[in-house]
Amino acid sequence: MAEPLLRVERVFKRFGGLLAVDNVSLAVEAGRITALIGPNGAGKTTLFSIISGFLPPSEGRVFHRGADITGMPPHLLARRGIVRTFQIVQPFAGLTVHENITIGAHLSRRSRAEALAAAAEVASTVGLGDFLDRPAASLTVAGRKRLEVARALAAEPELLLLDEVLAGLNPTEVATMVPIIRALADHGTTILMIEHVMQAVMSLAEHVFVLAEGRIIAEGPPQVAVGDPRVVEAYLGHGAAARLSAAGGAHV
Amino acid sequence: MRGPSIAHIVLVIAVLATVPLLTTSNVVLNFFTVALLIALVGQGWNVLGGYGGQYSFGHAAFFGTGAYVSAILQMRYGVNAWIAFALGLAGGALVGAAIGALTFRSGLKGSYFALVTLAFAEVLRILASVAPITGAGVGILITLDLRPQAFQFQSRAPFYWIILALVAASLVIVRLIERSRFGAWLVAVRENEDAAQAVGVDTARVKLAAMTISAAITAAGGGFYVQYFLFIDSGIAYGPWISIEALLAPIVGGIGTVFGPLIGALVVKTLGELTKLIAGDAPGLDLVIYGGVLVLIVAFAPYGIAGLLADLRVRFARLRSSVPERAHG
Amino acid sequence: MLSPVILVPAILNGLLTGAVYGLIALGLTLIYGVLHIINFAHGALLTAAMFAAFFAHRWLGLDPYLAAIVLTPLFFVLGYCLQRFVIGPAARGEDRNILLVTLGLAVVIENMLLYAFGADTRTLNLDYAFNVVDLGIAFVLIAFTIVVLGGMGSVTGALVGGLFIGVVESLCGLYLGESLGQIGIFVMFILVLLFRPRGLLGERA
Repeated sequence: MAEPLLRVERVFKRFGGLLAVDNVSLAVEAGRITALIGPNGAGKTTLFSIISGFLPPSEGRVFHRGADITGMPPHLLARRGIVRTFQIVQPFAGLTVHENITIGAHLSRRSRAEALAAAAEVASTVGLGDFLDRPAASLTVAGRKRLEVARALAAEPELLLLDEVLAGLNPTEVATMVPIIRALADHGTTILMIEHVMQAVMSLAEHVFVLAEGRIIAEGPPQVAVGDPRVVEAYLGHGAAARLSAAGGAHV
Repeated sequence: MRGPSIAHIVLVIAVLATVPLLTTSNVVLNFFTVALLIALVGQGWNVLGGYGGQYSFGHAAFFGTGAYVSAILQMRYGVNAWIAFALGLAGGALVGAAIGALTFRSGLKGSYFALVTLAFAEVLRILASVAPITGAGVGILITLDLRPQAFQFQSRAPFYWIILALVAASLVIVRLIERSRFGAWLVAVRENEDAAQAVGVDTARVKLAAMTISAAITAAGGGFYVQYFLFIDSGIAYGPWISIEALLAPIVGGIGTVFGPLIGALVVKTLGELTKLIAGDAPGLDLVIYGGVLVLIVAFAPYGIAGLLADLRVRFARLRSSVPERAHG
Repeated sequence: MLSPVILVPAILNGLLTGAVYGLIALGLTLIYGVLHIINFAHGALLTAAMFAAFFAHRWLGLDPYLAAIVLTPLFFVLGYCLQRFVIGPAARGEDRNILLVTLGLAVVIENMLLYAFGADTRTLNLDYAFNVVDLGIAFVLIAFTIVVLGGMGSVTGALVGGLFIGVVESLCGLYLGESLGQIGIFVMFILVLLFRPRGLLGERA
């Protein structure tokens, strides 16, 4: 089998006495949408930070196209095509929407005119085309999430790490974002997403990893992974799986 | 990015260039010369502080190095004044790069960065006050030699035009930075370093480059000071007064804008002169006013005069337009 | 190596000044520990307090220790007013603004004192007198050095750091000459910030 685009190999992360990531190994295939789910505090964002270079692992390696990228700083990883968004959005608050996205576009473009033009295009893809000259700080939560995605997109990533990009959005807003994400994957961008919004995970992801207490407890196609009794337990508590199947069918 | 065009800059410089033609008063000319000097030094600070968001409280380190290197080369080694000036600029840039490399590598930001820059300036001041090469407590006097080759002139006007040329160059440099990829990266670093890194900005390198450019521009001011006043000592070169004026001008005029330092320098210097007129020449009073202005600007006009003007423009535009504000989303 | 006859008094002297430095740093570290702001005006306020004590002695014949009893609550009120009416509203919570505002305050206070009282050194004629040291910027940096060395927010660190710095200054003055005494402190400050910003005892910088 061909080398996956991203491979995480036996990664541990300790913060003092706390083991946030416990022997995690996973592989992300190119061109697919992979989801990383699990209860709060499971270590998902920590894992993202390790993959994207913001945190070094205590143990273990990360490989990109077979090359060891463990511990490489974020800006070098971005230049390799690995770009992340942040769970708590991090806009360039003092700049306009257009300027925000342009900074992403500058990753592969030196010319300001080119970067501005590319940024405008990306903006319309995510539906921010009419808000180019607005200050980023004036956007709503949904707008800022879109800005976060747009800025990352403008950097033309090969692997896009989306950290809870749908959190805090109402159902309509979610329904607008999902096709945008699918379109990205259709265009060839590999996506690894942390998500809590299950409907999105079910409809978007081709492969799911479930993380609980720092450990991968299940993986597979969404329906399979989500139906796994261990996953149900992780979300709903000990004994829940048994209770649910006794009540007739497990829905998450 | 919004901001003035080269044409705007040329216009402003052209207007300022007429000052020596409109007045014969040495007092007035001196006022403008010193104001332009502060504008230059402030523009240096502006690159790192205004655009880069790294507030240095020790820009005297670069001003003083530019001054001392030039003075020492001229007086102790007989180097031509113009070459000494250029080398002073280079020396200041080097000090900037060194301090930048040390501080940014350690990840120092915000208050810690401000403190460390202050400490560096103080270290240099103390060293300069005792080292023989800088003349220790006595300082260095440049020998009078009123020839253009020696970067000295019989009348004041040529000094004025030279500092104006330097200011013009600094305006153009900042304008070019504003419209370049480096400039985009620089403000990204100012706004959010993590987010900048996530999209490929090498924040440490960007900050270092900004620091070096910033130091070079400020050092040029130091080199000019030495030629104009023909004297330098540790208190003038590395003292808090210049570190404060270096940041006050851009903050008052408009932090992170091309013309901010120039506007701010003129305003601050005018305030200084008014203070002297009203209350006499006592030491310290002008700095009291400056400190007060700093607090007031931060409190009421954080984007400086340029910011206030921009606000007025927006309000005026809103009054004229009849289209209601659209909802954001 | 100098003989103990010279070294020991220098160290004792250093400990003495160091204890004073420690007290100063204590105030600074308290502010940082609670508010997480760095008060640039600390040194200026200290200078103002020193002048107040000096004039209390000059005009009222008040022993500085007694004056301290009166001045402490007075400066407490002053500090409260500054935070409530100047620093708080002007800065609106942003770190960068607090930096500038306290710098502005420092400049205002120091130079008001300079304007009002001139730059001469003042000495108190008491049995246990010691000279008023170089004022202004130096004190701020010394205090910060101690705080950074001992660790932001650490009370023990401030006191221990103070003693340490006092001795460093004294020994530097001894070996390098009086005027270079303080340079040891600033160099130490830079080194600590560059290599161990957490300090020896405190929290993460």
